[in-house]
Amino acid sequence: MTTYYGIKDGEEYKPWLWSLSSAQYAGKHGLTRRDGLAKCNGTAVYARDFQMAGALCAKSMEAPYAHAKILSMDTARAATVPGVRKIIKYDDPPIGVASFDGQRYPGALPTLPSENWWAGEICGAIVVADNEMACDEALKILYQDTEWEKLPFHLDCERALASDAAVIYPDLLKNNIYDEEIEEYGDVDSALQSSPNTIDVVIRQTADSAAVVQGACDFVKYLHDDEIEYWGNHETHFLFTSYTPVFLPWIKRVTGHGFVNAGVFGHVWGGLANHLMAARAAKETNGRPVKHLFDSAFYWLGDEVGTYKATIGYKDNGEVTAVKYHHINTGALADQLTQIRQSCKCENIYSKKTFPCQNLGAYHCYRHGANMVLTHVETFNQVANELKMDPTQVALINDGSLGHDMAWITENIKKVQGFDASRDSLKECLAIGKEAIGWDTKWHQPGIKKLENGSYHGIGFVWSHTWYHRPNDSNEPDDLKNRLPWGPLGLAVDAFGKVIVLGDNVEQGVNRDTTYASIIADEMGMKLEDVAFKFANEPAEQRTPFDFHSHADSRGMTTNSTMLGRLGKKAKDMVLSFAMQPRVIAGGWGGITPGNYPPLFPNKQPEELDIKDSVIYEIANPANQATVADLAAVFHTKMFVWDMVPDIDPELQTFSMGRQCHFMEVEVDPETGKVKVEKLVIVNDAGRLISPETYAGQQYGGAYMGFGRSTFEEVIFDPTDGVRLNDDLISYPVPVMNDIEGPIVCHQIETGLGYAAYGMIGVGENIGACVANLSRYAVHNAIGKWVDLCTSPKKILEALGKG
Amino acid sequence: MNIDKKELNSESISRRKFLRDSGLILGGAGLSSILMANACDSGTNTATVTQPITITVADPNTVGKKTTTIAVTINNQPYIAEIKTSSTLQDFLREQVGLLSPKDMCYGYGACGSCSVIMNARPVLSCMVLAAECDGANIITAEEIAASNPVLVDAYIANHCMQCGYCTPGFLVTSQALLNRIPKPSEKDIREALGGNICRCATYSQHIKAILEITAGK
Repeated sequence: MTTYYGIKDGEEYKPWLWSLSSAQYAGKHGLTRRDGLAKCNGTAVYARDFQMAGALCAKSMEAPYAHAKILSMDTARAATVPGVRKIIKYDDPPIGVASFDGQRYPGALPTLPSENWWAGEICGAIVVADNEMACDEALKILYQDTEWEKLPFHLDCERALASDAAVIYPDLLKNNIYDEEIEEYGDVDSALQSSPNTIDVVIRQTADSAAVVQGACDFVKYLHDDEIEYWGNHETHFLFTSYTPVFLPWIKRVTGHGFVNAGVFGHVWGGLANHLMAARAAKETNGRPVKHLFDSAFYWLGDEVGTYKATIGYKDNGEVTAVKYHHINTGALADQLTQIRQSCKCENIYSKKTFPCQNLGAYHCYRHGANMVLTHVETFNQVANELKMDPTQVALINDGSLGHDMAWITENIKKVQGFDASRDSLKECLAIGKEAIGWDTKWHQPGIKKLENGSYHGIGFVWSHTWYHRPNDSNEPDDLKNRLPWGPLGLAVDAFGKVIVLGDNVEQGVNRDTTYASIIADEMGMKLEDVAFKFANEPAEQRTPFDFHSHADSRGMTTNSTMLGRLGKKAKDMVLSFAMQPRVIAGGWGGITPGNYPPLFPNKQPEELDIKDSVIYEIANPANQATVADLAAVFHTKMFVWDMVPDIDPELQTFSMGRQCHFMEVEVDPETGKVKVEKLVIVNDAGRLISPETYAGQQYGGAYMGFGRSTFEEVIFDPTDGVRLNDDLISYPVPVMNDIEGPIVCHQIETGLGYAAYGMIGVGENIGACVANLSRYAVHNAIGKWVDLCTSPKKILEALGKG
Repeated sequence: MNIDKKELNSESISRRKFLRDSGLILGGAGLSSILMANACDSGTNTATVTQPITITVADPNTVGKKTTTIAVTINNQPYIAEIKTSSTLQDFLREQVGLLSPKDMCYGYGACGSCSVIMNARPVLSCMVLAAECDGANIITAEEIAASNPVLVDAYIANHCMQCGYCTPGFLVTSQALLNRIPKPSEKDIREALGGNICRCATYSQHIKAILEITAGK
């Protein structure tokens, strides 16, 4: 029995049980990537390619110190630069609201403050001019004509908490703690006391940079005094549209447009700061639009910087009984316990999270998850090391979710909720990965294998659950109660029989158009080329009228595929319902004489019809057919449907069952500290693959990105003033092709163990976050010493006593 | 951008007419540069050259107003261009010619390869070349490569050599330059040639695969 749109009775709110109406496109190799040609030939439009008639250019001052206050600023000389139209100072009204939810911390947003909290922060002044050169010239002068008072600063999270540390924001806080949280499951202290073994661990993580490839660029035009329209480079429409009125309260309504995003990778706060400056500047231009540029793409840090302390209790067989963390880091955006809670059976887990005031810079959710994976994987790999056990065995012993082991989950979740109980994601990932890397012959005890060339040989392993695995996903089950109100998705059939999916424009490079179209085409029975997208504007509310979920690569497929799948099923039923309706032709459309005509399929019921290759046909008599275009020529004005993500009971999608595991074989040169990758093996449980090449792209990309973060990406600060010393692609190298010399081998398995449509599980930031810790374990296996992240040659040499 | 399009894509003209018209525009500009612009190794038939397009600086009254004039062929189209002396080739291509494939990832440090173009048969970083240096040069950009080498582009698309795509034109240019130099490159050749191009999405493995597929005749 099925519902009216093809989902079996009782399965409407269980998208993992849905099946595709056909599988002509989804999961198939070789579909032409729709954005491919435009991205090859330069016609894909990025924010900095865009030109708007009449637009002025604006740039803002960027703080030259880690923490300082402007004492005075004389704009007279800068204002004489030819082309300069306006210089807006920090004390010029109207002044925006410099706080967010009553809180300002590095990472939250100022609106042109006079006191900066990190080097490079937008502050002090905005120059509006005819062109970028004039802005740059005026800003040079403005720096000379501004007097600063340097203030105390901290670049070390632990140091900021010391009793003798200067309080850096005394007007706001009594100490340098801006937030502290405690989270506990089970009874950790008792479990630690009764554990046969315990170990204390400390890891320190240095800062890395998002180093996004296109500096922020936003266009803002005032439609009315209280209403703006913007065009920007970002991945999160809802932040811009909903938060702009919070920070700039004279703005009541925002309409937004997106471009092809250039590697923004969660460039949330940087993009929003730039957008606010554009909106502030455009207020002064008598209606002319303003383009605001912010070149310092390097100033956005990852959110994992800091110190991780843990006490781990474990049994002699490698089973972890309790773990107690103290996280002292910048990562207020991340929940450090997510990975370990979702991926292990240990019931007793505690975390005290301390977020110190510091002046490192704005962090944001650039591949965040790395710190969560570190918390998780460090626990088990440390235990394996203490017991001299194979870490893959320790992983299997501890695998589970939310305090339950996999046997319990099989009986109580997989079987009850309709999943394939015979599948075990971690076991399958491990079997493939170990075979691909040659684990059984290559793994050895740490520090014991030297090669003929004098280098140490090492092999490392990390694992985690594969997020995002739920259609309405957030990091924690509790967040489901407060999830963002995603909007509906719309679909129309035009007069030529083309299916048009209506959504907002968040293009993250993950082959959205082709992948999404393949789901709609398969569900409706349309040809892939007959499915297209139109991207709608966005009003000021927190949702779009038609909404692809904004975090397009973090969790986009798990959410959006569920919306698309149901929408496609519903749209197919809509089309078939019109096939049975009398056709009333009022005009002469398509050469058809006006009048009343019988239905295309008279006396048929929907279940007697089907659609394939955009042709409607009678199942019992396939020769009886008509095209969707024939139908749409008459009914297109009525052929519209919309749908939302089904409101799935959070209790039905709590446990994570999909896994990933990754392996790295290295040679470590004891003379230089250089890590040479011999082989990387990336294994992910996709649940269900929709676009294999896109998925593999995430794996290859995550491998390189993770390797860079794990091994050499590190922001260096001048300890005397907190200014970054490597803020360009010369001094801050990011991974290039030859940084990984050995092969990268990617495997995908499809267990169907995800809660999204068809059993799908996300992949977006999983791999980069996971591999970002991998070199720590490969290097440890090589040299027998623990090296903090990133495992730079300098740290490796220090660990070897050669620093 | 201020382009005189009155003779754009019009009939082929004689060399004599081209030189006469160019000479009128250039005044004292070097004749040799004009000859070079049309005789370089782009495959253009020098006997039937396309009418040059004239470009002037759009905003001469602002900072950087000192100008000069160059003759340059871009994607087989001759241009007579007034340029700011401070303009890089990248600035010129993007802001005056309107070719947006040379991207700006590293802000003029010459570190990323995303602004690569082929200049006189060699790949160059257009952010590292002054437009004034291009007098007489033959420039090929990703726009032309995508139009003229569908095999390479198809391989790029089929192998998903792009995610966000910001760096992809630069890779395409560098790959074309490699294939021009070594029609059947090894993986080592590919790694050497593309080793300076940055892709923050890290599509590196796919580029190697795409080029090897082309040379294997797949």
